[in-house]
Order: sequence, then structure tokens, then C-alpha cells
Amino acid sequence: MDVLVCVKQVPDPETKLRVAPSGKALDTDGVKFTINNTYDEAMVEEALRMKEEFGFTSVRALSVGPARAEEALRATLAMGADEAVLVETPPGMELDPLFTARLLAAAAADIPHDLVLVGRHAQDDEAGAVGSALGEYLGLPSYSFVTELTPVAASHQLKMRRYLEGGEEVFSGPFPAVLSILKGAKDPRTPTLPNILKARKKPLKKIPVKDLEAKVSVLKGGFQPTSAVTSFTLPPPRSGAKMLEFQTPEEAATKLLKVLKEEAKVL
Amino acid sequence: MAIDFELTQEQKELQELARRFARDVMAPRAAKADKLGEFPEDVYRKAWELGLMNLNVPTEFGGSGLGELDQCIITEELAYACGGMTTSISANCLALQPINLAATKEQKERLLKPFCASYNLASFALTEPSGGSDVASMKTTLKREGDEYVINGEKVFITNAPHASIYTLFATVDAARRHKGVTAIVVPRNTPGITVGKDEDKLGHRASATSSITFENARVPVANRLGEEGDGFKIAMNTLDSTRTPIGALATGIARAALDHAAKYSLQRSSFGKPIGEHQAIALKLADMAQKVTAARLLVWYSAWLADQGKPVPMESSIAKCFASDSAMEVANEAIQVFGGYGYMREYPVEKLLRDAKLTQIYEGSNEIQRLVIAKELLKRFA
Amino acid sequence: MTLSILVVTDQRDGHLKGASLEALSEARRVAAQAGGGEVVAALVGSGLSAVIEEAKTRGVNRVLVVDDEHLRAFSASAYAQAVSRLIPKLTLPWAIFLPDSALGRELAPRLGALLGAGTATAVVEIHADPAGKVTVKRKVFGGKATETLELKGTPVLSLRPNSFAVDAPAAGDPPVEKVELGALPVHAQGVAVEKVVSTRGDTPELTEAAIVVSGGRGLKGPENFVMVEDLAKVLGAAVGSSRAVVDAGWRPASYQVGQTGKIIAPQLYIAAGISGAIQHLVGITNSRCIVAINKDPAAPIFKVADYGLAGDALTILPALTALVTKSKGP
Repeated sequence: MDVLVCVKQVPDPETKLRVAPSGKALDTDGVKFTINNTYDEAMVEEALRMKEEFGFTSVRALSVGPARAEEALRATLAMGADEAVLVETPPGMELDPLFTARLLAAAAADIPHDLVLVGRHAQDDEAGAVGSALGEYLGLPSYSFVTELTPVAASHQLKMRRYLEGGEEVFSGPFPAVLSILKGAKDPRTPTLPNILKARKKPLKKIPVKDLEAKVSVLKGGFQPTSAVTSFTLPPPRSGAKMLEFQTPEEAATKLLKVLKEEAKVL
Repeated sequence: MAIDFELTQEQKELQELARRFARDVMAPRAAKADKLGEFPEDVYRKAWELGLMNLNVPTEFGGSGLGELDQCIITEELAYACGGMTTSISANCLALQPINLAATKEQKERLLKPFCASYNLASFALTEPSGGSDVASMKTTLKREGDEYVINGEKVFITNAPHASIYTLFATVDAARRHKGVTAIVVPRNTPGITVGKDEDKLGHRASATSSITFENARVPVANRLGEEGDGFKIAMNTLDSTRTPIGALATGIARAALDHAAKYSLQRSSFGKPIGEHQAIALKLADMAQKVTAARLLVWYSAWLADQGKPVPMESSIAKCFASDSAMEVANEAIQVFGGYGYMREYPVEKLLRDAKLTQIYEGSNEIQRLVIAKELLKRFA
Repeated sequence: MTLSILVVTDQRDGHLKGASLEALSEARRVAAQAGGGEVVAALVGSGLSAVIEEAKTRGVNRVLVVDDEHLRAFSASAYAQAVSRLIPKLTLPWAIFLPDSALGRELAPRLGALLGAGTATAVVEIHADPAGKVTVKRKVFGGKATETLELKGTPVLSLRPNSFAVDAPAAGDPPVEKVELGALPVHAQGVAVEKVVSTRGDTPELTEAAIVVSGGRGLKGPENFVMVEDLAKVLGAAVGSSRAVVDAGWRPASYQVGQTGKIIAPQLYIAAGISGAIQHLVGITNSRCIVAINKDPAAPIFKVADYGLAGDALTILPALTALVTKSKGP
């Protein structure tokens, strides 16, 4: 039995955001990319636990992205994954979460997988859409926001908990399956220096995205994104508070909640 | 294209590991450890677990087997979070380098391998009360009796001494022979006759422990001697040649922290209607600070790169150490000025940087000694 | 031809959640914006009779129902299949809306993949033009940027909770049609729920919370700090403080927000009785929305805040707590 983890390289969360000249994307010029998406690290740790505690044979890592995404895969190897595959996209190629899911599905077809794990979402687009879409494309069940995971190999069942508004659901379902991991049983390990050095020598295969075109074209949605970013904007710099006028504390409360809900949309 | 400043992918990953460790483990502890003079042993243990401690020991003996440039990249990142903790973490590299350089295979198997296999600290015991830089005048004695040496004397300012399990000691078999009498030997901490003095109350590097060690008829097997009698001076000098550049990297980390704090603050703090960073008085300061940090790093990298090519670096390593540590002092000083009154307060992080920077001008060869070395090497070319 | 917006609701705990009501209301607005069209509520699950009655009061044109024992436990795969059975019932399927709840977030992309449609999660604005083009806005990079997306096919959108207004219930008797689930593929079978465990009442971590309420010296004394905690509780927020509060010993150092405390970036930061020393401001500038409550209208906190209330936190905090409690209902 094998685990496949899907990771994404994202800009460092502390990066100062700037809009690209096209007005449609983040300006990645000079942006530092983190080795890996934070939520992916918790997920990879959970995958390694499957190997260490439940007898899964291997953990393989898969990513879709430009050449630099190799760094995310090397970091995953340094954490303990055994092999990695990068679906390499040419510079400027536009992806959306479901197109990414199609590419992952096409690549995963040639990689053994009994469990496919993804993080809850990537810190850049925050779409959280790849996991269940990947389940659909692979013809597997998907379970999202999983906070506890115990595989029962004999019956090919997973005992799980998942997040639900205001609570958690204790449930079970069959695998092979695709899971989005909200929280693992352990804090993600930091790769040690010797493991970083060893990770350089682990196998990492690169597949040009074009090589998957035939396989992806037959999937619903095809070999193209089905959404396009038409603008990417940053909020204007803070220019001082909008002062709310009021006579009574109750009026203050009412006015504040109204603007927070309807204007700022944070409640 | 004979010159290339791009780090390898592997170096970037080591840098990222060190950066994360510095940010997540060291930085949250730095202010408190500094204030209370704590020795955060759990931090050091974690550094060992991650392989950030015995960087210069070959992998076959349980170290990380890194070259000097790799060590410098890591050291700068660690020092960005706390200079004192970095000194304690790096002290093993200094103490173990004599073993790397001069021990036999049997000695390395016996002394290095078990040491590196678990969390252990080592101290480099060279400096004496009468002075550090004048090695040939040392007074601690080694007297041979059969298969043992009997050690008598005192070493001072020894980093990690209260917590170390072994000391690499430099003592003389015959003071009259001056530097030709200096001999290196590995001394287990639990040897009877060893007294470790009180933990010194220091200006900076307060997360590191420093104390004296007194030897009174302490007996150590001859089998622990590194090289021959009289080889010690050369071993000590060669060791210091290889650890000098990383001290420059440590100073660069402190300087970079000071610059970053000052630059960020200069955009947050406003006076006369705009951020102080947009006033020329502050902008010019920041520009000077940035020049010093960048130049220090390049000198460090150049010296380390040369050393990794197997080239001797007496002048380059002294230039790197001296320039980087002087720069750290200047940049930290200016950072306080940028913060104004707040910078003088311990609540803010910059005054600590000044105190930490100061030591880098003094230890592992004071900057006066470095300048003498640089001048001597320079004049050789014209003599 | 009638354009149809299908709204798949989330009734996982037995009634229509707030986010589902938002999706239904927004669908009506978008349909009107696009020059008229029908809003069809899609109820998918098991044992739905009460929810059907609830949905009928929400101004929808039709209610489509897949009520089947096999849908008792939520399976994104099975639910996506169920929704796909409803598509042929629409004259001209134009968009599918879902709430961006845990259920909706998982179901929307799966449905998008099943249909091969453009999909966007956690959208905060939806625009339709009469030509049928759909554009949406969503927040990215922790709320620090906004992207606008154009979507192909019959777009599947999950709507971020608390982002859209909810219309009052309307009288009406829209037709209800039940649709058979039919056979499910293997990957849509076999999920069983054992139990639901409530985790309400857990206080989130200061650095992870979506909302943080902080108090400062303007609260006058430690006995009043509970007002901050009360508001945080009803908002599901974490509690923070200024350095002065920690220095005065009202709360431990773990509460401190600022340069020497915790650096935070919540969606909403409410600073009550905090004047805004630069030390504190450094820790909060990445917040998406900052609200300041302070007696002194010249306090520096108002310079970085989005909304300001120049008044006494001691009276405004309880009023806010009461109003939030009331708006959440029993």
C-alpha cells in the first residue's frame, strides 16, 4: 500500500505583495517562494505517519508547477518521502485549481496510490479545491478537512474525524481515497540537515506538462483552465479610520456590526 | 563566468533550515535568555537533533561534514536570531576542529563518534588569565607520568565550560620551549582534579555560558594527545584559521538583524508628517548600514570559498572577521540611533545587538591581532 | 428561455444554515441582475421534509429534492452525483451556487470536476451580465489581495459565509419536485457517520484566529477585562491585550499583541481601550480589518484602523456583545 502526497510551492507568507504589470497576478519578480505550503507540511507528516505506524510501503510526492517547484518536492523528500514527481509547467502557463487537479490525476495514474493526501488549501489562492476534484477525476471517494485518520488495512476502511461548523464528525469510508488533511496527529517534523543532504540523492522525475495532454484532454474540462483571473488587486493603503457617529452605545454597536457585515464583509 | 554568487539548491535548503530554526526556536527565546542570562539547553539540544551543531565533523564520525562556506551560510542565519546562542552552538565546531585536524583514525572513532552520536557540548580551552593571543606564553602544564599526563593550571573565558563533556586543552610540556612546547589533548570533563568556575556575568552573549576551568593534578591518558608533543601551537593556529571566517558570518548575522530592525522601524515611525525612513538623516544611515552588511557577507563568503578550494586564507579570514565584527558594532550602534530613545530600552531588540556585536571584535583573536596579521601578510608582498 | 440558478443548500445539521440563506438570497439578486431567471433550490440529503418547508419560504421559483437513505452521511462524491441528476430538470442551467461551508467547500470542486465547469470557492462578490458571463471576486493571500475570475461553462460557486445579505422570508408556494437518486458509482458508496462531536466553546489561538478582540488600559481595571473576553466568546474570537495590560499584571504575557508579543493577521481585529503605541501597531498592521474603540479621538490607533468609535469601551463592549448574541439567535 502506498501514499501519494500532492504539494504546492507558494510565496513566503511574509512576502510584500505587488501586482504584476498585467494587473492579473501577483508580481513574482523578486518574490521568495517558501519551500512548501504550511498546510502541506502537516499533511506530509500525516503521510509519513501512515508509513511509520500503519505499514504503508512508500510515500511519494507529486507537484504541478514551474521548475522552481522542485524545491517543494526536495523539502518533502527531506521530511522523509521516498520519491517525487514534478509535472513541470513552462513559464507563464496559466493553471486553475481544477486544471491542476486534472494534471495531478493524469500523473497519479502512473504512480501507485492507496491514499492520496492534499493539504487543506494553499496559502496563495486559498481555493482548497484540488482535493475533492482530484477524487472525481481519479474515480475515488474524497474526504475533506480530516482531523484524525486511522486506516484499517484488512477491510480497506478509514476511520476518520472531519471538521464541521461548530463540531467534528466521526465517520468511516473506504479507501483508496483522496483526503484533504486539516490537522495531523503530530506536529510536522523539521527536516534535519543530514536528511536534507540525503534528499538530494532521492529519485525525482520531471514530466513536461505537454506529455500529459492526451490523458488530460479526455477528462471533463480538458487540457485548459476553466477559469481565468481577469484582475488582481490590493487594498488601498490605510488612510485613517472611518469614524462612526453615534449617540448611545447601542447605536455604536448597531452601526459597527452593519459596516463589518455589509462593507468590510468580515463578519 | 569563473565567479558565481548563486547558492546551490542544497545551500539554499541548509539556509532555509537554519533560518526556520532561528526564527521558530531561537528567536522566541532570545530576549528572555538575554535578560536572565539563561543557558537554553533545550534549544541547543534541538540544534543538535537537526544536525546544526557539529557542522565541521565528517559524516563518517557523526557530524554534518560541511565545508566552510556552508557553515558560514548557516551561522549567519542563526546569529540573525541570537548571537549568544550561536556562539554556544558553534563552540563545538571550534572545540572539535583540533580533533578533525590532528587526531588519528583510532582517536576519532573513540573521541568523536560517541560524542557526536548524542547531544554533547565541547569546549576549546586555550586562553589563560594572562592573555589569549600570546599563545606561546601559556602557563598550564602537562607533565608526563607513564601513560598519563598530569595537568595543572587555569583556563579562562571558556565557552560552554560548565556544560561541556569534553575539553580540547592546550597546555605546555615545557614552558621554556615557548610555542614548541604547546601540546593539544582531549580532556573528559569528569576527570578528577577539574574545577569549573562560576558562570561569568557578561555584557552580551548572555545565552551562552562562559567560565574558567582549573586543573589540579588532573590525569589524562597519553592516548588522548593530538599529534606529538609540541604540535599544539600549530594545531591551535590551524583551528583558528578555519573558524575565524565563521565568526565573521556570526557578526554579519547580528549586523543584518540590526539593519532589518532599523529599516522596518523607520517605515513605522513617523515624525514631521512622514516615516522617518523618508527623512534623509535616517535614509543615509540606513544606506551606510546596508553597505556594511553586504560587504561583510561578501568578504566572509570569499574567504570561506577560498578555504573550501584548499587555499590558505590567513589574510582573507582576518579581513572577513575584522571587517564583519567592526561592521556589526557600527550597524548595531546606528540601529539604536534610528530607534532613538526606544532603541536604548531593553523592551526593544536593538540594544542587545550592540552588546552581542561587541564580543565579536574581541574573541577568537581580537581585532587588533587580526589587523597585525593583515598588515604582516600585506607587507610580506613588498618585502 | 429561462436561465436557472441552482442553489445547493447545506442542511447537515437539520436546517438551512445562514450561509445557505445567503446563497439563496444572492441567487435572487444575481438572477435579477442578469435580466431575470429562475432560482431553484436543490435539497440533497436524507429525511428532508422539514427543510423542504423551510426552503419554500425563501423566495425560490422551484424546489428540487433528492431525498435518499444513501445520502444520510455526507459523501462529496454521492452528493455531486445527486446534484448532477437535477441538471436535466433545468431549462438553461446558468450557474450553481453553494454555501462555502465545510460541506460546500468539498462539494463544489467535486461537482465542478464532474461537470467540467469553471469553479470558484469562497467567493465574496458575484456579477452577471445579460449575455450570461459570470465574474466573481474572491480574497487570496490571507485576505491581503482580491482576484476577479471569469468562469467557463455552468460555473460552480461556493459563497463565503457572512459575505452576502440575507433576505427576509417571503410567502409563496413554489412547486416541489422529487428526483430519484438512482444507482451510485462505487466511489460514492460506503461512507458512514458514527457521531457528531461538538467543539463549540473552544477558544482559538491568538495567531490563528480569524477574529481577535484585544483590550488595553482604557478598560480602567482588570475586573473590566472580562468585557473583552465576553465579546470574544460570542464572536468565536481569540483574546489579546496591549503591553500595558500585561505590564500591569491584568493578564499574562501570552496575551500580548505587538512587536515584543504576538504578531497577528486576523480578518478582524477589535482594539478596545488601546491607544496604539507603535509597539502594538507593528503587531496588527497585517489584519484585514481593524476596529478601534477609544475615548480619545486623537489616539494613534485611529490612524491605522478601518473603523473608529470615539467612545468608552466600557459601555460599547457590552452593547456589542448583547447585539451579537441577539443576532445569532437562540
